[in-house]
Amino acid sequence: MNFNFFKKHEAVSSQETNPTEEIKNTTEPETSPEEEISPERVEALTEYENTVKEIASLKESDLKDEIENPEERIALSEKLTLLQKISETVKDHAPELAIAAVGLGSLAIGLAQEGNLDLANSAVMSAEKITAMVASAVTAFSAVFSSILWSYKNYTKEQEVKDSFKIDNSSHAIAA
Amino acid sequence: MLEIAEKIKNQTATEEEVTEFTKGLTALLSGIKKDITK
Repeated sequence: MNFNFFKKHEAVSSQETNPTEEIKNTTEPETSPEEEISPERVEALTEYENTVKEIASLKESDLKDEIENPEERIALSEKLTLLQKISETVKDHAPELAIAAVGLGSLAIGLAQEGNLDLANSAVMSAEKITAMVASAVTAFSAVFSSILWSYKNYTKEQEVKDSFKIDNSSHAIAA
Repeated sequence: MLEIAEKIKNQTATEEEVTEFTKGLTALLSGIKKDITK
């Protein structure tokens, strides 16, 4: 499995930001074409790393104020903790598949929140498939993903309750 | 996303696909960040 996703980027970044280093390396063997990194990828990785850094630096006080419901606020704090764990995972291991699974798990939560349960279930299934692929490679990841799934299932459950309530209301409306 | 992830695992993903994958991850994470922060 290729875990050099970010290491390659670091190498390219250091060359870009330190011209003297680049000059020193001119005597080293040339990088093979398949290892070259496009400027677009470097830009995408820089943006990704910046986002991860921003998430890692978030605090409880950065959470939305308008959320007064204590349970919802706890859920958001958990999300924040998860995102910070993702950041740590990226920093320590850079396992792109694990990141993909976490991303899909998070996406599932978002979709479930919007009531798009079919798509949310698809996202979870995809995430579970990826998780199975990387389970042996990233031990810390499984705990993070379990937490995400737990959050997702809670959202789904709440959404189902809300949906059933809506149906009850509409049937009352028809009856009336 | 899943297809690209599999390609990355098998080291068959192209430069463009890896870039697209990275952008997708960034969008997911920044979306969640926006959802929960002020």
